Amino acid sequence: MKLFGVFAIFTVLILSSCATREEVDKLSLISAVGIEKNPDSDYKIIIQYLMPNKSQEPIPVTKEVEGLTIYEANKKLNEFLPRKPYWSHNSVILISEDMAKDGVRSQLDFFRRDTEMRQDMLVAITENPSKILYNLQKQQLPGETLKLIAREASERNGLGEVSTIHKVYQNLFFKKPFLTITHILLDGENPRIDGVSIFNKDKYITTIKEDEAKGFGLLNLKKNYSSVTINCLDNENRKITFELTNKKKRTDSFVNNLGNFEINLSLEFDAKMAENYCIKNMWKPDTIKELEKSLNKKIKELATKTIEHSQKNVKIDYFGFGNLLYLNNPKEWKEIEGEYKNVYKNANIKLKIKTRITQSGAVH
Amino acid sequence: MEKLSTSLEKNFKFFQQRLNHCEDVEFRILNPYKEKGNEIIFMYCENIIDEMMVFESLFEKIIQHYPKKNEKIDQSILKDVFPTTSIFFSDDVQEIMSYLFYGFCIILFPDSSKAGLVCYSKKSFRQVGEPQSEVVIRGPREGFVEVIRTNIAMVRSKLPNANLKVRLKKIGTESKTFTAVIYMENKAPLDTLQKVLTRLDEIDIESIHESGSIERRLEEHPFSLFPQIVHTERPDKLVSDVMEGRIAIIVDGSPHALILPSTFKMFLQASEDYYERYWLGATLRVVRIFAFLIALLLPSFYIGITTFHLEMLPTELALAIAMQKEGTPFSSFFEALLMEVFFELLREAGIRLPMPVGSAISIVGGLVIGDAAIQAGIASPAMVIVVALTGIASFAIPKYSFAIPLRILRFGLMIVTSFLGLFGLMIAIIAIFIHITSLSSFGVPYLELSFSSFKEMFNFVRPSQLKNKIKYKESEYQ
Repeated sequence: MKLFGVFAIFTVLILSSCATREEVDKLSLISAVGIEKNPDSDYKIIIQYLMPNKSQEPIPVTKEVEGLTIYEANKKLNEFLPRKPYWSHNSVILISEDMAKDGVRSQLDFFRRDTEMRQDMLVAITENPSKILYNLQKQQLPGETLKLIAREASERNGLGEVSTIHKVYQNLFFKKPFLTITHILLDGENPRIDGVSIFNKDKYITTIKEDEAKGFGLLNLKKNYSSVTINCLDNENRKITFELTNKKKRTDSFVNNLGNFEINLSLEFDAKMAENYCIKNMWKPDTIKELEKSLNKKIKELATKTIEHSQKNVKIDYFGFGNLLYLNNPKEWKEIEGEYKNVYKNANIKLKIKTRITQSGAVH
Repeated sequence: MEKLSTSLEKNFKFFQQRLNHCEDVEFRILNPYKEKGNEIIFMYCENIIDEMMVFESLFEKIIQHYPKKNEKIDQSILKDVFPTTSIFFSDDVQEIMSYLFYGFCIILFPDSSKAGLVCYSKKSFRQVGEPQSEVVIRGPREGFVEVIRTNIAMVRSKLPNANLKVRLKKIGTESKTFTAVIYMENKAPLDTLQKVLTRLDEIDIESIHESGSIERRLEEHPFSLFPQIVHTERPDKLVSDVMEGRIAIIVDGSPHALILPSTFKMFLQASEDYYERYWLGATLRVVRIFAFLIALLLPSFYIGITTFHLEMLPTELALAIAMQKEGTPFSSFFEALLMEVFFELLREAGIRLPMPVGSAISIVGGLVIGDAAIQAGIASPAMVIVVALTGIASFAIPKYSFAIPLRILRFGLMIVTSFLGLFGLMIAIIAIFIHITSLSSFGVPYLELSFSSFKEMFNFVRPSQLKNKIKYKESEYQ
């Protein structure tokens, strides 16, 4: 019996033959990848990989390969790479706008399906991925840098969202008829997050920027430290800036008696005074109340602008109100599912915003 | 000849023959009147006896009290010479022989089959000093020595109580080594005590030189890698364990006392845990559990992650490891194996060598393992950190005997992990866990898995009595 045990252990060990074993020095870590349309074959992928080097910091190397599918292109990498391309540490997938117009699902499939893929890669839309990647070559960890930029922009500035591949797929398979992905712009030599790309199903439509993007952030992001600037109460030319901190969101969507889709949105913020050019004494309760009112108005303005944009211009519910109805009341959702686009266009959205100035920032 | 005969001449001849070539045994004949048949013969082993005392008190006093000429000398003279000292008589040759070598002076009388035995034992021994293997910062600084009488005295002086029983046994067919079984009568479970005593009687061994040689014969699972009997050099630890109802065994010639039954957590305890303030003990226990895990798992975990699951690491760390690994010729597994073997060699060499040479070895070894291996491209710096950390962690375990299974298992785990990755490691951990849970020590489960023992483990409560912990009856664990 004991002999059999020993035999079994050795058999297991030897038959496994070190499957999936890879030594670190036989791998080249891929840091970022860009996908572009190619007139000749289906895909042109731009791959940025790191060559670990004993004496100095690793240098990113950028290569372009073509292929019918991304996996084919991946295999072609080994025509010039002495090591196995290792995708687990890839942190950014850049998809060109014209590629995204045909739908992003097919391009993301490889990253979702292949083994050892980390699902926290950032998916981003940009006009020209190769330009961004070539510009990033001076960075040590190009992919990681881009991902961090996206995270900081969304958390600190309330701009766009960190659309990891996991989130993208979650949205794709949920009852949301929309998808939002971070948009990156090459500003001179540096990449910059400038807004959120809106998708119908998985097809790229447009990108919302600036005020609309900020409104989107206010309405959609969980964590958000964006700033709002309003005019002083006494002087129209002077400004006062608040940072929004704590956010509480309550959304309620239903179909009312008349058959109209109705959404009640209430947002609560805590605001911290960040910068103040006003002269008036700030720490009187009445003044603070006035300021809060003024803040409410400004936030409502921003949010309404985005909502109007979604209802009138794009005609797509990129906030996911429909999804909420599906979760709360699937029967009602089923009734309007087919013509949701029209329903949403005429939906009645009521906004209720409440701000509390918690830190008035008194300076002597 | 089993009993002495009545003829002094015969007895003397017999002993001379039996002790032929035992040149450390001295025979002295006392016959002041040169009368045949009226002499007495002294027999003693000169090196283990206090010769000065023999001359001053025994010989001189006997001569003073020697009967007058023509009067027969007999045993009663000893009563006159030593009215108070313990003297006893025996006619059993075996007994006389053994007492001779315990440092007794044997006195043979004419026309008597009884020999008188007087104790003049004086063995030279090491001074009581600080225990070498269990150093504490706070706590008594005395440790056991090689002489059993001193050791028992140390225990007795800590527990001057009639409930503390010391049962002496002689173990070893040739060596007849004194072995003391120490326990508290009102605390030790009777079954366990009986079991220990029968096991001790069943031991079939020629000679004992260390308590370790009976330790393996007392264990229920002698082939398990994990030790099931704690040994200690500290009388205070022994007493505190005896107070819990455990049974201690002290063997003559060994400064290591055995404590049984012992469980897993006792190997991770130091006596200081109870002397220092509560929080220190509780924290150090946690640290030692981490040390246990690191000493066992770290190299295999490192191999598993770097060769199978690189995606688990943060990108920066993965890249740093990749950079360090650049240019080294071997696989992670072989590198780890090499460095671990280096380290074991160094440790082994360092222990056996005398102190001055040992420090030289540690310098050379430190350079070889630390720096030169990296310079030569044999190992990566991360691997050196892993090996060093593993070594330090295994030193952090209070009981040396408990670090040994970890050192051996570490290699097995490394091999399994190099084949099967972290899955293999997990399988091996589960196998080890199953093995530990299946062990028991005299009816006490080795890995006490209960909430109360968990509280004890982290020093929340004083350890409870042993009789509450026995889970199996004797018939079940035999």
